[in-house]
Amino acid sequence: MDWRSQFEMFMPHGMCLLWRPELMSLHVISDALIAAAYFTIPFVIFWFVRSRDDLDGGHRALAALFAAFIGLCGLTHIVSIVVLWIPIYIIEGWLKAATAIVSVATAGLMIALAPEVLKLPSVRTLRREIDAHHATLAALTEARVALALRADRTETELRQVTQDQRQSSTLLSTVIEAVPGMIYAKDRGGRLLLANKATLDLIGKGWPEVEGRQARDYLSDPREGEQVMADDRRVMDAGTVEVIEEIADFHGNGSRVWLTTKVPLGDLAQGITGMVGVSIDITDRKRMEKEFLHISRRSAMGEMATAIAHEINQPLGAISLYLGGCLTLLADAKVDGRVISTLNLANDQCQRAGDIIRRLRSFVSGADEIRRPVSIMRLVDEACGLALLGSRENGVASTIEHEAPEAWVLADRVQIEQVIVNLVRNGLDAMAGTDKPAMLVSTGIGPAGMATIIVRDNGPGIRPDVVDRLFEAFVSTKGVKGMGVGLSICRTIIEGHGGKIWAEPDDGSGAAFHFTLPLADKPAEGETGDVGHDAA
Amino acid sequence: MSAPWIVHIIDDDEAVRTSLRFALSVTGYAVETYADAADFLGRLPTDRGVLICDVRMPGMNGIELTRMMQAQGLALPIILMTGHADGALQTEALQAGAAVVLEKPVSLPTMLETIARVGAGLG
Repeated sequence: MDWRSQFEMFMPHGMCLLWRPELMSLHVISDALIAAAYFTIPFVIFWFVRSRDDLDGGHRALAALFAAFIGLCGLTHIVSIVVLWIPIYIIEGWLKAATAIVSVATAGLMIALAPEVLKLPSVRTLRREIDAHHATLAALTEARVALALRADRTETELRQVTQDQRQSSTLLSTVIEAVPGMIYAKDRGGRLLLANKATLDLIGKGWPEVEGRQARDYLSDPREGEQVMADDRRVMDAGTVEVIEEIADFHGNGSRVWLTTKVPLGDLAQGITGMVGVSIDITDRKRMEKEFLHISRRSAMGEMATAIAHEINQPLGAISLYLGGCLTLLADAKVDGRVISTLNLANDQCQRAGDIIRRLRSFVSGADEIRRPVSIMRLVDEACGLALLGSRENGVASTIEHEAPEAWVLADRVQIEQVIVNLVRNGLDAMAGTDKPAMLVSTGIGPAGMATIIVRDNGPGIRPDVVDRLFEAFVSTKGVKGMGVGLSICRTIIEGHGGKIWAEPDDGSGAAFHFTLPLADKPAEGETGDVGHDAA
Repeated sequence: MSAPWIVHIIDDDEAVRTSLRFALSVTGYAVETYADAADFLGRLPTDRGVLICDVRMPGMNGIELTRMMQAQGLALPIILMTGHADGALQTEALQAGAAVVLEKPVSLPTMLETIARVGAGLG
């Protein structure tokens, strides 16, 4: 059928409506409004699709199909208006067919896409999600601020702690450096971890040179070093603090005594990692203590000597005066001359005893000593004459030998006589149980301008365990009989004269005491040499 | 040998006292002895004489007695005797007014010589 023949074949649709104006108007106006609305929608869709660039391909195609479907629907309503007057039913039919195809396609695509579209969140859901996100974001922000604050606070605290630590570290190092003694720390193997300035000064090296070194490396005497390391090990093994006296020589200038406190680092449960030591030089203090002891002993002896001197001088004075009185009485009488000379000798000895007491007292109280050139032969002969009194009656064979009878020494006669008397008396005591007791006193000239005097006996000799301590005060070999001060005083006297005194086990049996005195020139005639008794 | 004046002896030690009295008596001196300073002051001599006195005594000692006698104008020459005459004691005794300080034990010749010297001015 030719499309142009339709105009002749069909009647306009208005006829069906009987051309009734109100019905015509209703159709025309309704279709026109529907078409207008339908034509508007594709534009809106087009604008929407243009504006939303986040749509995927499926949605975009659906939108295009929908726009086409709506547009075609609009077009069918326009054609419905046209067919009221012009009967283009064929065109209308094809148009509807096209609309149907597009509609079906759109419906199909919509069905296919429906689950996808269902997944698309609603605006409310989105809003809720967005709100939730906002809340999370706010919480996050808050947390971040809190974190920042805390970080700030922590940083401040850290700065404070660092400053405190720096301060206490400065304080510690200032204290360590200010202490006059040595402060040091060592590891478990005795290697230096720390040493203050006093320690480094003593070692005489800088820190880099001594770091990690051991006592045996930096002390002058390796044996002292080993001893110090043994002390360190003992403290660390036991885990207890020790206060000890150590002997150490840093520069080869002589060993000094150190009062050392050693503290283990760590504890036994956790493990000892090392030790800290503090050492103070007490060499001078030790020496002063010794001197003080010596002085106090001497002052006690001085007081005793003064008391004894006073007590003995009284009867001595009386004896002397009685003797003097007797001599006066006898001066005119006719008596045996020997009586007078004996009384004079007795008087001499009385004065001599006073002399001895006076010298002994001035010696122990440290008063002036009177040293003059003395003939050593006379000195020894006189002292032995006194010391050996009565020994011959006890069967002691005594010999005095002078190798150099002309020798003179510089000495306090009374003091040296005391020494000789003491040594000879000791020998006689020692020989109390000897079969054929024999005493030999000999004088001679030794090396280095010294005279030597030897007092030898054939008693039981000296036990090796006391030979080294023999000259110390209060060491006695006589048991309860001796006070043990005799040889100590002898040593003080001899050393005070610049000599030496020592004991030697005799070649055979018995003991031999040696002492030396500095030789002096014999005084010229008329000079005051101390040659014999001059009455006080 | 005799002197027209008396030797007074003060010593708390009887042996010293009697021995000195014996020795001086046989030499020709008139001797008077006293056990201590109080005894001497109780029998204060009026005649001329020489006083020999120990320094260390119970009660008033020799130096104190010497000082007191000097203060009271008792012009008796005084010989002080002591068991130990150190420099300080000697100086103190001489400043107190003692004529001589002798250290014990004193031999008779020394004692006689000293008494004669000290008593020389007495006539």
